[in-house]
Amino acid sequence: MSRVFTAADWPDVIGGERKQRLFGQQVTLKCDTVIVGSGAGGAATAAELAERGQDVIVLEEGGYHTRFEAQTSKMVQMLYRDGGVTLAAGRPPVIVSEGRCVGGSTTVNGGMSWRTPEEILARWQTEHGLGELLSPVTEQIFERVERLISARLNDEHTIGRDNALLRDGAKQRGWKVIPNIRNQVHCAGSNNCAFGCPTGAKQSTLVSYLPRAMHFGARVFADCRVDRVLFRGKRAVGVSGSVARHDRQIRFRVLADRVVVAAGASQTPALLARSGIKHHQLGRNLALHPNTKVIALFDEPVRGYEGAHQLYQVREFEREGILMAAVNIPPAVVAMTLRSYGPRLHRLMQRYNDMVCAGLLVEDSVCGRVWTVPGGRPLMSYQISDFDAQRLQRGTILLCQLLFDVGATRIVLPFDGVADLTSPDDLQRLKSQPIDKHHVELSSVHIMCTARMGGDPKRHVCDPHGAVYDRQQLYVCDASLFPTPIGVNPMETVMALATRNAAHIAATA
Amino acid sequence: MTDATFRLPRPARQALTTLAAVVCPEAGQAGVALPDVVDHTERFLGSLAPLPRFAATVGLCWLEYSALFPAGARFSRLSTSAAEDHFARWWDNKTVRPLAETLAGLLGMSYYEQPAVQEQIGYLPDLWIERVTRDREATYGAAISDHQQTLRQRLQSNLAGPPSGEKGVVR
Repeated sequence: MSRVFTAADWPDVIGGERKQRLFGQQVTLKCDTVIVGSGAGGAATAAELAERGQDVIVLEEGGYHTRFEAQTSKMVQMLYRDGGVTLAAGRPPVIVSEGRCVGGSTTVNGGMSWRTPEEILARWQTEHGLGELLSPVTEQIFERVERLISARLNDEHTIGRDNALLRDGAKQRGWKVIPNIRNQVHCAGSNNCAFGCPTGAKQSTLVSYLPRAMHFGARVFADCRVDRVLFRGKRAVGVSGSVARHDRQIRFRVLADRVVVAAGASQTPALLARSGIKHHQLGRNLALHPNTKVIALFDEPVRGYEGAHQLYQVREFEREGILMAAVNIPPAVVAMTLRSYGPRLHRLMQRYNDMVCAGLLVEDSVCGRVWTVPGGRPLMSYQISDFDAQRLQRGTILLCQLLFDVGATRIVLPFDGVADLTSPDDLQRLKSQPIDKHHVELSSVHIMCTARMGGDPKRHVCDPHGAVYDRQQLYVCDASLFPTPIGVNPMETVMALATRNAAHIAATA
Repeated sequence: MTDATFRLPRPARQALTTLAAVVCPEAGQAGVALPDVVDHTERFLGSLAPLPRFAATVGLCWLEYSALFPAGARFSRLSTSAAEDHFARWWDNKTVRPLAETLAGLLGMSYYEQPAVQEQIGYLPDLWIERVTRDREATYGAAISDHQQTLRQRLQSNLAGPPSGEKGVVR
């Protein structure tokens, strides 16, 4: 049983074919715990519960893929929800990219493995009633997660030119710049993280937590979309959904003693809402670490795709909620986001190999919302605040200073209608020019906080261990749980919360 | 959730084909067939959520018929220079600028996804991946095997606590 089941396996391998033919019934499976989602939260929960002897089923909406290559659009269609361009409605809209495959976003993220900052844990503890987060137990949980995903520094020789320039620029300015800890085993530096690791070096849940869960008996099913959670009274007793097969639709039910929803911060609130959960905070408080990017041209070849993805973070402005990094993106995505066409686009793209793409994110000061629209799909809305837009402008100016210091000759800005910068003197113009927040290019890969956990059933959807208030045996285990945005990459925090909450689930089962 | 059966309605596809020549005027020199770019864009639209896909389709139909009044013909019937002028007016119009950027962006993405174009701009990731994969095996093959062995051993043991003597993460 130690393999991932795909749509092609249904229903013959799974069982129930005869039943379905004769009576038109759906396939029914049973287990102790059914988990919706196989990303950072779902896979970690599955491994922790399976290791403790529970019979676990993991249902993943996306496909099961193990071969990854550098073909951007093929990979985004295969591995991402909505081709990687889910929109959060607002002025401007935010392009949100979310993994939708076995391994979830851990299959397509950069592998940054950062613990939750202590001040965030302290805030969660004091303001949201999450008892004893600042404790040796939490420390042990982080250590355990880091061991299981092999969180460590990259080998020195994988540092690409774009990351070296960012590091050197930050050092010249005396800014704090730190190497990223990533979940990898001798990363080759292929820079294909966002489209799956072609060497298997990145220890996404696809190659870490899920094999571990399966070793302990968990069953993992790809291509299974869950429509709703099933209840008997207030007690969750399973889920129902359908298998994505082109030739026909197969319905399934999984009956279980408990249900864990780990479908990500946009899908989780929608699934709960479809299932009749009516908590007024559900879907609210959406945070997404809005980010933007600049593209700097150099008079030397950079070839940003040669070297590991995002090896450094500039943390000098962490207290202001601003992080910076060099993030190489492939030419198709650069072309899509340059807001140009014809000869100008052509001229810029001819210099693709001389480009450094550098991004910055800010910790949100406002919240968006996930709505559940008719038909049950989630729709995100998010309106960036003046304050966050000002921080993005300030962060952009600082980033441009750094890039000019190390030799950039032209910088394409993320502000519509603002001319490219061609010298450091142009920064004065940018400083004195108020940027209309509606004209900032925004994207996000971190969505959070839409089913917050905490001690107050009025303010929080879930209790301090992820159990949905006013329901029994229904848990949430993904970034939806965060009471606030965390300001750093969320993968390790999600895994740590999953580890902590799974121990509680197992102890109370 | 990619809809492999998605096809643009005829006016939308016609507009997209003409727009491709405006967005990627150097396609001929690069040896890229514009229908390939258009097909690629159509496939990509099929992977989008229904709402943005619908918006892009409506936007293309709008582009197709928006040329009727000023230019006297549908967008796809205009000469290349007239199509360029018409699209430039869209680009300069604040109201439709976001739509123009989106459509041009989709075509730009598809164009720079063509292997001939990637080669022309010197983007050769496959060669790089092949090289570093080989180097990784040669340099770290033994260490990677050791790591996998350690993982297998951990699976056999009781893993509720950390294995003794293990070093923490470098921070």
